[in-house]
Amino acid sequence: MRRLTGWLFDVYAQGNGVSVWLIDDDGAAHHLHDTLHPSFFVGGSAVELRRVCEWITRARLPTRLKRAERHDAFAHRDLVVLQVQVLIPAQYAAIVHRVNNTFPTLDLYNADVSIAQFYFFERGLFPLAYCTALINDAHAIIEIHTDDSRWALEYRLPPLRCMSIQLEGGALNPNHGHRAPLEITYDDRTYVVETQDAHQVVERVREHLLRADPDVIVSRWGDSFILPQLFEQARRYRVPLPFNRDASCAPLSRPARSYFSYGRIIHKTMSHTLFGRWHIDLQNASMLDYGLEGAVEVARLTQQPMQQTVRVSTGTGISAMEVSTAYHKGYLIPYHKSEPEEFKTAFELLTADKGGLTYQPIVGLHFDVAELDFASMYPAIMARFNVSPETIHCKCCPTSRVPEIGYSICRRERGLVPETLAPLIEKRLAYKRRLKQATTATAKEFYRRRASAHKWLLVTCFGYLGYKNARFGRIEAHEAVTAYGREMLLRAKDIVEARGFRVLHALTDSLWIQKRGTKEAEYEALTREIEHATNLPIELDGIYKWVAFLSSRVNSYASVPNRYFGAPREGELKIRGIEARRGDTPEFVKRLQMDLLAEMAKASTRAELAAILPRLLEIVATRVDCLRAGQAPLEELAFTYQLSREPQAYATNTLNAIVARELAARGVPLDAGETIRYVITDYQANVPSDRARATEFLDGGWGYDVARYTEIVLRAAETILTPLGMNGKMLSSWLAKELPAQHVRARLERRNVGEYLGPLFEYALSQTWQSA
Amino acid sequence: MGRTLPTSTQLIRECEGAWRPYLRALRKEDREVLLELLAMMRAQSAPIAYAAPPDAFQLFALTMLGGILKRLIHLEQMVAAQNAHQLNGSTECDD
Repeated sequence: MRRLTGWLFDVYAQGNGVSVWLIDDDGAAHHLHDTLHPSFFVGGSAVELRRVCEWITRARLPTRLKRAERHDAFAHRDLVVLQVQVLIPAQYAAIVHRVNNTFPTLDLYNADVSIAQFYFFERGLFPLAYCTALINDAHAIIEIHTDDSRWALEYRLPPLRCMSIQLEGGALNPNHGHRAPLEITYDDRTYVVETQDAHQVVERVREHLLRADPDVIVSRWGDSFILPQLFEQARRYRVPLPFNRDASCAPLSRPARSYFSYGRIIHKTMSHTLFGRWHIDLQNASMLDYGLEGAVEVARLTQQPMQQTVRVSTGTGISAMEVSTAYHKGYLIPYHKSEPEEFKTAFELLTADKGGLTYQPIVGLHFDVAELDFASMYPAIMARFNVSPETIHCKCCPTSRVPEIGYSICRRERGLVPETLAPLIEKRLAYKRRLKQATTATAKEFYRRRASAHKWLLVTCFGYLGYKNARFGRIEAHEAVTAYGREMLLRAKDIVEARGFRVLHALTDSLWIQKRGTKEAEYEALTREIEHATNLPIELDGIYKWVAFLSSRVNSYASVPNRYFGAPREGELKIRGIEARRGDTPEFVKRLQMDLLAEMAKASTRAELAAILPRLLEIVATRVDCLRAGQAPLEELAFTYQLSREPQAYATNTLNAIVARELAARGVPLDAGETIRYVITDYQANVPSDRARATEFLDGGWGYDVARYTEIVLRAAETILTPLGMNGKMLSSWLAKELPAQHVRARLERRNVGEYLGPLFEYALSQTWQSA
Repeated sequence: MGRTLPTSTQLIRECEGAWRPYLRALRKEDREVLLELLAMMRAQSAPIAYAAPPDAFQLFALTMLGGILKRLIHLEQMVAAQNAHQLNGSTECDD
């Protein structure tokens, strides 16, 4: 027997137990074995449970059966259930499936917890926990424990060996026709597999895998293209390809699928996960803005294996955390739950069925603006006011009422959701504090990523609370959260108005307020007063030299929330809802807007903004010139679009439909939710397929449509310049014709007598411009 | 996601949709005025949502009246400022 210390790297069912991989301080990987007997529960009448017992016994399933009592949080009582303890973890899912199919009317509990999660819950572990294991000579774990904590702010990570695999020109999608040699990088060296011979390619990949023995393989398009192609060729040429470290099992493949979520079609490509080694496909990973550092934090917090963490949404993560809390509290974890909304009168529905409050922004350019932001408002409400599916409509606390809607809420027993969220909120605040204190750019980025991972987990918890099919979702709890949210926003509004501020905009959990000459100390006093009145943390998110709230593009009379930009006194520009923030906007257009905003951010007052207007026009003219000279790189002009349906289902000839059909005709399989990229080649062409081209099939023979891109660029410029008094008509008349950048000044001076150029421009011309 | 009833923004949009034929038939200058009235309604979508009246039109009408009064007060203030300016000869401008 010996003691081994290291980081918990991978856990999965194998043989009669589980395989556990530890990576020690020297970076060596150890394959260990442990036992695990996970249980699920069956609920029903005594007669029904007896029938289940008899059936399982007859079927000779490797289980142990027991009568047990467990707490049903939704029913607020203990239930007598049948505990089915599975003796071979690898058969757990199959046994659950058989019982469920044979007895479809009975309730199952704890039935879809993964084997890795069971192991983590039972041993008090989590991915990348630094553990101490007592093992025997057969590498079987006698005992394993950790002193590490999921809530630790600072923790060491193992010295992982990484290998990256991608095709040259990694960003281009090989599923859409891109072909290039394979690039393999490890130990700071890149090897290019130049050969066209598939057999040779497989042999070379095998050599590199054996030589590098990486812990992590990071790929681009590995899930959907590189790995399946390599596996196919490996089978064809009978070359064992050691992607898995555990040679006793094959990599796990899951098929591609498309699904509908929050009004969008999402496409998940097929996935290939490994055993004893991680495969992370950057093109198929849900790492949002927090990267691998954040993903590690999410894996530790949610107790999901790393390869799963990067492939599922943060919503699945928060659900896993709730499962963990329920498991440790001994609650039954519902399987395929559907909690219907309770009956309400029409009046009750009118009162309760509301979302957060949105005060439409006051359109225009505003100076001396501050943004106050309730920190993680909805999760904080759940934690502070004990909002959880099982605490709503509490019978033991009839006097404790949710404002506005009057639901009673338990004050005696801590709810499952608040218990899950409270430490998460605390940890996020701690990271945000460290982010503020950080002095180096590296440290700042490190803490930003960690805090961001927490933010995304917290953002999704509210949606899951209102989803009737979520394990711990209940619509009344969701309504209680929004009711508290509205009440607290109104209290905050009352306080800021009482202090003489004007509310320019308010959106669920944040307020944009304005009062000329406000000192920082007054903002601090204001936030303290709001915190006292609401019992929720609120932060001064930023003080802005100016903020521009934009009107709707469709209806210029209407203001729209979340379409604004502003220059803070310190820090980066704040931009929401404009082209530069959208994922589908060409890089060329984004850069134009960012260049304009960077220039504008230097100005603090109306006069300073007016003074730089000519410079802004020069920036626009330079971009237009670049387009007209044919110098804009095609890659920067590509639109990115997510297909809302399959190519043949499009009825009209939109550019997206044309490109999707073109790709399909070239043999590229496309599903709804997949992303395509294309450049507009001739927008007015009679032949639809000439109007736009997929980036993967653009060759030297194709150029871009100058007129169309000029239009797009001018529209993007208009978005930024409208608050300064410039509209699209003015821009077009000055710039859309034959205007080189150096002629802007001359053109401005040649304006027609009496032509109105907008308030700021008039000011600029009367002051700075003419004196220059 | 827990919402059964239309939001106040949806109610306003429905109301605008119902008035579209009327808007279309109006002379341009009258249509501009009505569009401004509708914008006043949109600007108050948060209080309308919070009040959640069974018949939202009453509040729609009230928001339009409120918008007109606000405009009137603003004009009164401008006139008062203009008068004061003429009396004092002040040149201070609002930034």
